[in-house]
Amino acid sequence: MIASLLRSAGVAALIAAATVSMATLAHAEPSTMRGTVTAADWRAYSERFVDASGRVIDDGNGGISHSEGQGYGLLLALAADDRAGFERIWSFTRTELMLRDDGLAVWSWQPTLPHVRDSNNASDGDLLIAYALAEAGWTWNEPAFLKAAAAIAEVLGKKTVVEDLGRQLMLPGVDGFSRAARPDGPVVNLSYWIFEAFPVMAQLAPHTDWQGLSQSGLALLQLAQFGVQKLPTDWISVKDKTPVPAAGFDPDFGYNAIRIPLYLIRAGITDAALLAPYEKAWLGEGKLGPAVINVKTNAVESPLNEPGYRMLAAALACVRSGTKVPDDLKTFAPTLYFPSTLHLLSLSFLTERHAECL
Amino acid sequence: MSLKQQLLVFGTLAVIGLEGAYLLDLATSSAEARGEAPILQVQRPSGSQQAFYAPIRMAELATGTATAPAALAPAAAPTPAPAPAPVPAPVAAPAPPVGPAVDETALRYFARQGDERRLQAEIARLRALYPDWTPPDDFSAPAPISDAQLDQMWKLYGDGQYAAVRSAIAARLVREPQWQAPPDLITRLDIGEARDRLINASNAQQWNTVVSIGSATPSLLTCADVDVLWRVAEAFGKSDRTSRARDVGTYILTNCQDPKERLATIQKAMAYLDDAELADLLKLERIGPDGQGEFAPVKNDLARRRVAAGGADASVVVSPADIALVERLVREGTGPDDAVLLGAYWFQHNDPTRAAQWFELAKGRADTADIARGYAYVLNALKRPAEAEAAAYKWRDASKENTDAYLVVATAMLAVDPPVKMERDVLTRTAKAISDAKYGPGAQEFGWYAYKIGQTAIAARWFEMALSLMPGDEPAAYGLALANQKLKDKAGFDKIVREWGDRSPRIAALADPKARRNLIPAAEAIPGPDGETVETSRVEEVEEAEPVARPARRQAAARAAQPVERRPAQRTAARSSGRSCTGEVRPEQLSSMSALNRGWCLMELNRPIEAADAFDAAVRSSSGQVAQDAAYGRTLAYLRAGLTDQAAASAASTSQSVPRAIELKTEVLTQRAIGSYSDGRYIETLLMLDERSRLAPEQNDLMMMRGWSYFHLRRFNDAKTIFVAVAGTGSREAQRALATLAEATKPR
Repeated sequence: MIASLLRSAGVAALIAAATVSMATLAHAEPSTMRGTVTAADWRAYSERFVDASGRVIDDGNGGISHSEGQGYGLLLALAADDRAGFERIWSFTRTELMLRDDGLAVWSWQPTLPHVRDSNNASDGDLLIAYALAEAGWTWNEPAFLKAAAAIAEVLGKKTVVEDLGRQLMLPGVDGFSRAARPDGPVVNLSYWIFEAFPVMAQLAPHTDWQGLSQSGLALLQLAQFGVQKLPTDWISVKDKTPVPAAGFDPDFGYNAIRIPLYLIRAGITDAALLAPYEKAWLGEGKLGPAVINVKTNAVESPLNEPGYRMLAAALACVRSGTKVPDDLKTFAPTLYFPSTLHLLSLSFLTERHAECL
Repeated sequence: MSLKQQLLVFGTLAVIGLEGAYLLDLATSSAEARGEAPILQVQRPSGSQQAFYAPIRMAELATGTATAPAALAPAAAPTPAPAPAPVPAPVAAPAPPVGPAVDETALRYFARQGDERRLQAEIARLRALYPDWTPPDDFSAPAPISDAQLDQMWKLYGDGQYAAVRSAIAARLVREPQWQAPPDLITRLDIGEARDRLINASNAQQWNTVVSIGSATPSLLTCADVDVLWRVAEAFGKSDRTSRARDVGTYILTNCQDPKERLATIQKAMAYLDDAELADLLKLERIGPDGQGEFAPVKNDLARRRVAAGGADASVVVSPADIALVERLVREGTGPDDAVLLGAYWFQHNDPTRAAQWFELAKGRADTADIARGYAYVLNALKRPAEAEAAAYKWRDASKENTDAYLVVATAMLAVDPPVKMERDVLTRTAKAISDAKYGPGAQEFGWYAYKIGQTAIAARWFEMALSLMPGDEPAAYGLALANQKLKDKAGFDKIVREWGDRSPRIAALADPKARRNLIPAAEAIPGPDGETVETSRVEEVEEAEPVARPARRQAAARAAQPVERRPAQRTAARSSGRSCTGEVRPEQLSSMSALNRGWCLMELNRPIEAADAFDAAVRSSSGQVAQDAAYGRTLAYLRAGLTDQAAASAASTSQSVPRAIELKTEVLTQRAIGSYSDGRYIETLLMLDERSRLAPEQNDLMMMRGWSYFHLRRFNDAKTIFVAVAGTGSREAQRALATLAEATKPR
């Protein structure tokens, strides 16, 4: 999103950046994300998945909450320009999840006591929260959001971004994924590379090599192409130069990895070599669209028919071929938390960047 | 920033008593302070960020080779959708001046709700802020509601629905950009959220976060909300700042009045303060009009705690009064726990007999995994390993600790020397437990057990397993070498010798008859590879046989260190007492005193390598006399094992009394002389012997070595002088040597 914005903004942006005083809080680039989710869609989403305390509820997982969901909630509230909703979700996020001694969020929250049963973090959750806070800080002129975003970005960079075999990696959590922690470590999850967020992180926490991290993510996506479909698994061992599916996890292109093409196109990355496997797997005559696929057996473990998942394929088709989004996907009706979230993220992106497909 | 650093930043905990409100003024951590200025300069990524994705060459990234610049080309320059009409930005208005009027909105709200705790806290807070202010007489009278929306916000605030208040404020600001939320409401929201977050962090055991919030929000730290104070104290206590935790306790007991909360402060502090720090708090006890101290209800628990501390640490000696009190509690109660405390205490303080009585009493009251485990260890310490095995068996899978206990006592049972007869089912279950758990020490001991009862082939398999589980374990390798030798498995035997010969003199010696002869003159006690012991599975027959292997297998150092005539007696003593030292097999977990005792015990069993480990553990975990004794034992153990260099290093590492120092140095030199001699380095042998002779007289065996050294160096006259002198004591060996000498010097 940012890269695409920059491309279109071109020279004007450079001039604008040069003229803005560096010492003040300023929008060097106004975000065009604001207002890309309609009030009605956001109301439908938050009435279903966000409770009065600001908790984003994953109803597909026993009603738990997690840092990822809070991060998505913050991002979508911003996209819907709902400051009140944003404040509500942020209050819960801060008081219930951002408890760790290092300042990151605990990854999950159970509806029954004790709410926090595992104090590990999930790096994509922290990344989403920091990204949404920073964008909100710029959009709504709120220094407190930026301060909180920078604090998260700094720790996230320090504790989860590591250099290994000459490449920058984002460990999925502070504990349990490193070379030292697992026989097949480091283990990574390429859907934790939320590419659109890295340029923002670079602004917030310049001591971390976020650019290197972006590049290693793109390189790993080219290497981690397993099975006949050449798709990445959710969890990947990068112990050696050549990535392999991580031990102890299903060798699936699953609910994690299906987000990867959305994250790529949202960041303005439309390279054919990167997107081709998803296009081949999802688009064209006789294709089922997104599905959980076992890369060892090449079998479809479960087709993903909810509109939110099909929307991922539609967004990809739009970006790659200018294909119009089917009518039934243009309107949003909540199903379960995860596909609904992906649906709104896709709609938000298309509204912002590819209105011609809607 | 590390936890330690953050805590250091925390600085001193200053206690400031304000009228009505007591604040712990905790210095703001630098983590809170940092980042303010630079953040305001952070901008949304501008043009330069294009570098992030535009120039990335995919092929290059994937393969590491440079190719044509197949840059990420956008399919088409996308047109941004029209942005929605911007919401009018809030006009930046200066913060409203804090007028002389005190904002009593919250006060009135809490009064109306009948929320006495919050009401009092608010009064305290306002008094602290405005010293001249006095609470109105009529504050509980309903104030006119002038702003229904604001009143609703206060209502949500009063219900603790802080997220909803935040949301309501934001929503109103969108509708009414000119509106200002009352600063008091914002402040109280911040504090309310901070309190929630502190409690959540405390529940999640994120102690540093608890301390940080406490430091940043001193207004939370008041007697009106003692739970927060307790949680901050606990966070200090659990993060290695117990003196800070004590300071918080001191603060509460100095300033807070509620008797239940005061008592609970002590009860909570017991979980994380040491006895000295707790004693500081107990000094603040108030004595009631009835002469009863306010902490009387916890004095039983305090005694229990001290006995428990003594049960965990042998150096903690508990007063007879505390022991007597806990004994009384056992008599008065019906549960097993107090008896277990006493049992554990006496076990730790080397009185297993008394410990057994308490564990037996506890066992009569309850059958639990903990009791079974403690009782098994006690029986084992009483040298009743078979009973210990039986006691531990039932609960062996209840926990890791119970599994460990079973393995330890079962191993001890196997190690009894000479071997005791065991029921077949006991042997079977022991074997299964040891191999299921892949427990190396147990496998090794099973090897020795099998070896001793003549089941050599089975012994070899156990030693192999022990060695695969503990690849560096010399005793297992030695056992395997012995077993292979006895089984005439030449390939297997040679393999061990090849791998271990350099590291283990006794294994090398097995393969070198000459070295064995030189090194182990006490060969009459050692069953040869042919083995006097008969292959048999019946323990009774083994009783008749010469004890095998380890107890007898002595080396030169052992011989030198212990006068020959003492050895058989000692061996017999060890055998007749059914001695076993394997009560606890991981020396690093033993207290220094028990490690020391175990070391000597193993020395008596002539298991010097393991003894050296035990002594080493004792050296590392102790000081003073215990450490000195342990270092002495360690040196002797290395000497006996033939590890002369380690022995010399060990001897040099600790100062010893003069007689001991001389003894150790003598032994080191003796071994070095023997080593040089068996390597054919006769000049060095003589140097060592000369040096040694300045410390101690040379006995016949060493004099013979000196004579033969001269002989090999062709110093025949010197050799003759020596052999004649030894022959004068009636030594046939010296007479034979003189004959050899005569033959060698006979003119041809």
